[in-house]
Order: sequence, then C-alpha cells, then structure tokens
Amino acid sequence: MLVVEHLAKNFGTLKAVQDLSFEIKDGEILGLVGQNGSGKTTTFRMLLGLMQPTAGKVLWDGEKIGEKQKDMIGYLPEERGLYPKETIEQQVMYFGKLRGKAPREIKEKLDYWMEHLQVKGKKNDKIKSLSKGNQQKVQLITTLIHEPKLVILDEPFSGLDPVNAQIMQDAIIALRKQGSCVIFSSHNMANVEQICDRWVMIKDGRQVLAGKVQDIKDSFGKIKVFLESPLTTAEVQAVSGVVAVKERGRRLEVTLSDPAAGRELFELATKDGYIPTFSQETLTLEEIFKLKAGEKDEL
Amino acid sequence: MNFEKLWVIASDVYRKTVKSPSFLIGVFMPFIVVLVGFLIGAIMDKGQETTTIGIYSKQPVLAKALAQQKLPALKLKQVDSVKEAQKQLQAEKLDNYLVVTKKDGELLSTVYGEKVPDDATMANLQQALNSLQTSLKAGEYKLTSDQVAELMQPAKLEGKELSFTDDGKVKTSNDSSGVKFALSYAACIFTFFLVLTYASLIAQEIAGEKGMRIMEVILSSTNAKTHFYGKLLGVILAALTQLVATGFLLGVSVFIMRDNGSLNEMLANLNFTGIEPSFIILLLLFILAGSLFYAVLAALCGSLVSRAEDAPKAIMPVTYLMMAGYMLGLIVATNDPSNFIVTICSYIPFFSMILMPIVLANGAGLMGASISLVILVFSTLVLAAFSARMYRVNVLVYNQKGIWASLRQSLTMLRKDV
Repeated sequence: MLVVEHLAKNFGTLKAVQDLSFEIKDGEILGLVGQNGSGKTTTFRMLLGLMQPTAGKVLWDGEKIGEKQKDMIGYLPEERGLYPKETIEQQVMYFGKLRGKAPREIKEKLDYWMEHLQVKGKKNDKIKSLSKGNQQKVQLITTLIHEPKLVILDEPFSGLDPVNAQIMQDAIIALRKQGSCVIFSSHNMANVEQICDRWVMIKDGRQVLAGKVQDIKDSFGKIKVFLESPLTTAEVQAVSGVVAVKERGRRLEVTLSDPAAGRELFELATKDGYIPTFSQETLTLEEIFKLKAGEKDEL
Repeated sequence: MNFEKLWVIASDVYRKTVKSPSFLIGVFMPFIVVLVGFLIGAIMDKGQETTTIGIYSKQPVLAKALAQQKLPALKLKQVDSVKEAQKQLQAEKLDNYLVVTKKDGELLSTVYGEKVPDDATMANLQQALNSLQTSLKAGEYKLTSDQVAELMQPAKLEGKELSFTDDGKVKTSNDSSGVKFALSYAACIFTFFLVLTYASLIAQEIAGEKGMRIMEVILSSTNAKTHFYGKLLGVILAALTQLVATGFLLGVSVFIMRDNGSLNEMLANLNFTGIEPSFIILLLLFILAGSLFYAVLAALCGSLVSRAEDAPKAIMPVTYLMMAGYMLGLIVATNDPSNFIVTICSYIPFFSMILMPIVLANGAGLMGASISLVILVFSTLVLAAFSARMYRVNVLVYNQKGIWASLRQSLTMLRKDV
C-alpha cells in the first residue's frame, strides 16, 4: 500500500506541489489528473525517489522508499525512449536486471509479454526497426517485466491508437488483478473513468479533488439533465435553479445549481404527458475536471 | 552503492562500447597507420632501381676483386675495355662505368656516365674502394687477416645516462632516451585519441539517456551514484581492453614480421635495456588515470545537456583542454622538454597525463612523475565524487538555455539539496 502524506515540493519561491495526500491500496488504480504544469511529474519524481520532498512523506507499506524498495517499482515516463540500437531482448534484459531480476526469469517472462501484448517482431530485432506502437509496447514490457508492486505510468495512453490503447488498458486492469498498486496520469478522462478506482486532481500544485470516483461524482450531485420535450430553451431557462442550457440537436443539456431543481423541471416538461427523454445524471469526470480547472476550452 | 547494479550498468556500457565502430577503429588504427607506412616504404624500395656500374682496370685482378663486392642497390660488373663500357652505356646496359688505376700503391678511380651517380651510390663506391685499397695495402705490409680485422675495427662511441641517487651517488645507465622519447610520444598520441573517443562516447550516451527519459527509469531502479560510477567503470574497462588489444596486436605484428630486415634493423638500433619497468608502469598509469579523469569530466558535461545531439557541444571544453595538452606535448615539449610552462603543466591534472611521460622521457626524475601521478589520481577522485553529486541533480534538469545555465541551476539545486 502506498501512502502519501502532506507532500510538498518547492523550487525556490515556486510551490510546485502543496499538501498532497492520498493512498492506494494493493489492487487499486489511482488516476492523477491535472493540466500541464500542475505538478504531476514532480509528484511522480518524489514517489520514485528521484527528488526529495520539501515536506511530507511517501510511505510504501509503512516504510520510506529507498534503495530496497526500488526493485518493486515499475515506471513508464511520459516521453518514451529506448536505446534505438539495442535489440528488444537486450533492452528488456538491461532494465530487468537493473530491477534485480535474474536473466533466466526475464527471458521466460519476455516470451509471455511479447505474445500477450502482440508485439510484432522478434526478440533480436533492433528497437529502431520497430513501429512506434511496437516500441511503446516494448517500453511497457520493460516497465512490467519484473512484476512491480507499485506501477507508475506517466500519460500511458498518449500517442496510442485505439487498439493499442485497449491493450494498455487491459494491461493496467491485469495489474490490479495481480494486486499491484497502480498510479497513472492522463489527459483522457474516458480512460480514467473506465479503469480508476480513485482519483486525484491537482491544480497549480494543489490537490483540488481526491477520493473514489463514484464518491467524487456523487459529491457534485445529479446536476445535469438531458431533456427532449416540447419546452423551448427560453422556457427551461426560466425555471428556478437552472444555471445553463445548451442545445444539443433536438435535446437540451441543462445544468442545475441543485439536484432538487430537477423535480420542478420534470414536472414542467411532462405537464402534457409523454416526453422522449428526461435523464438526470451526475457530471462526467471530464466535466468535473473542466469545472475545476476553470478553463473550458483546453483539453 | 549497489554493486550488483553497478556491475549491470558497467557491463552494459562495456558491451556497447566494445561493439562500437569507434572502439574498433581505435584498436586497429595504429596498425593501419604503421601498415600504410610500411607499404609506402616497400613501394619506395621497389621503385629504387639497382644501378649497374661497369668496372674497368688495366689490372683485371683489381676489377675482378671490386666486382665481387656486394653493395646495396648497386651491381658491379667487370668490363674488358673502356670502349666496351661505352658501348654498353649507350645500350643502357650500364648506368655508369668506373675506371680504376693503381699508382704508387694507391687507387685512383673515376666514374663516367651520362649522369654522375647520386651521393648514396658514390658513398657506397667510396667504401668499396676503401676496403679494396686497405686489403691491397695489407698485402703489401704482409699483415695477417686478424691484423686486418683489427685495423678495420672502428673506434667506439656510446652515450651513458647519468643520474644521482638520493645519497648522492652517481649512477650510470645506457642511453635509452630515444626509445623512451618514442614511447612517450606514442603514448601522447594514443592517450589523445583514446580520451577523445571515450569522452564523446560517454557524453553521448548520458545525454541520450537523459533526452529519451531513460535516465528517469534507470534512476528509479538505482541511485545516481551507482549509475555514474557504473558508467565510468564500463568505460575504463573498455579503455583497458583497448590497451591490451593494442599491445597484443603489437606483439602479433612484431612476431609476424620478425624476419623483416628493416624491422630488425630498427629494433637493433633501439636500446631497450635502459627502459626501466617503472617507466612503462608510470606511462600506463598516466594513460589510465588520464582517461579516467577526462571520462569523469565528459560524463559531467554530458549530463548537463538534454539531448544526444548537444553532447558534442557539451564536451567542447573537454576537447579544448585535451587539445591544449596535446599541442603543448607535441609541439613545445618535444622541442624543449625543460620549458618552464611544460614543467608547470606536467603537474596540472588536465595536462599531466600527456606532458609528464614526455618530460619523464627527457630525464626528469621518477619522484616528480610520481607526485604528478598522485595529484592526477587525487584530482580524479575528488572530481568523481563531486560529479557524482552533481550528476544526481543534473540528470533531472532540462534547461534549454545552454550548458552554463544548466550548470548554474544544478549548483543552486545542489546547494538547496533538492
């Protein structure tokens, strides 16, 4: 289990990360989201022991992460890179041995992973001869070959086509089944929503949201209504508690200030009986993210 | 430090380095240069035509005795008359002809031809005539062959090196300055190329790892110190391999060419007896310590840039320093080994590995060389310890404003102990 307590990092006067606290139990996946420059990479670097925090601590099973713990970490950096002149096997062997694995074990595992991730190529193919997608798969293999207990993935989905993104997603879910702690950052809220158990959002180094995905969604309440009825936009806007109305084809997307306002809207819409759509929902993570980030255009 | 991982890193660097083209070029280059030299020499030898000279004398015994002498690149042939000689000269069967007369017991000779032979040929002829005259005289004085041999014995002249032991006693040894000088000169060139090769290799590798963010993965597996020292160990092992490979190839080529006349002649002219083992050991230690010193410097520079493409720019200061030492060594030290600047610089770590062997070959004491070596080793250790600390910070700094800005940023971070 990974526990992060009041983690902070200053670079001179710049407060890169402030008072970050969360925990990941074994077999849980945590998504770390935030805009560019919000402090995700700095947070990862502190988790990895590459940087010393200004304050707070990172504990793995109650102990600080030191040399001893490094063999159980798997890390996939955001910018991908492998040694282009090396073969797949040399590459995986090197990283595996650096995590304290015996060459024989690595060889066995490599065959499994090559097949499992459908890497197109032979073990003695040079990295530079592989397609980008296959290079990314090889890098994922180097991250997971030593069966890490704590897996840190920085933007694992960036640059992947839908097929490879699915393979990546399956690999992450498989890690959860093995009982590993997984933490990953992503810009793609759909991925986060589908596979995360917990969610931490940071903005300008501060933690703005943290918790289980469903809890966070519930905390915002069901303030979104998709409506298809005889009511016009103006008529909907006139209802008290309606914050915004957007036309989405024949449907209206209504944002409420309070979930209770949905009842009044429903009664108004159904005063003449049947309507095709009335759906009151929680916000999606993407909407929550945008709401919290305060910048609707970006993403 | 984790020694298992240190070894994983060192052996990986070693494997990559030994397989790299620059390593192979480095190993074979000295031999390619020597081979080309030999080939050019051989071609020039071939191109030198044998000069055929006709010998005429009113006393055919003289002509016959002279024609029997064997001289390099010279063929002597007895002819029966001057007319015959001229005919053969015209037919280009002869290059020149020599008329030998004996007057008052002395030989008087004249060479004729369309061109007078070159100095070397003249000198050879002179020598042949001298020995003929000597043996004629010997006959006149009724000397035995032993007496002739004694007469022919040249006077002896040799150089002795003088050195003073600590208790003031004088020690003499055979002159070996030529060989020592050649060795230190070769070591100077060898070290220069060795260091340049490995400096760029190590800087390239580190900058590349940093640029591709492989560094972060490695540093999450082990600490920066282990990685830094592992890299250095790998490079030093590769440099050692190159030294051994070069030595081995040198031995093999000497063995193959052991029957080659000019090589034997060259080796016979060299005096190896005065080369103390201490000189060779010091030479090797300087090469090794020097390579290590520059490897540390190159690694530090390489860790300051963010992309492999910037590595050559990063090691520019290293290259210039090395170049300065090389120039001082090849140009100043070889002409004037006791030059003040050379003496000073032979104790400065940046230059000592190149200059000290040359200064040493020119008779400087072992004491000075040992002090210089200690300074070099000590500075290497200090530099390595400092670099390892810097390295930890450097590899996480991605400063686009250049090397100096990166260095400043790293130093600030180091002070604040990031």
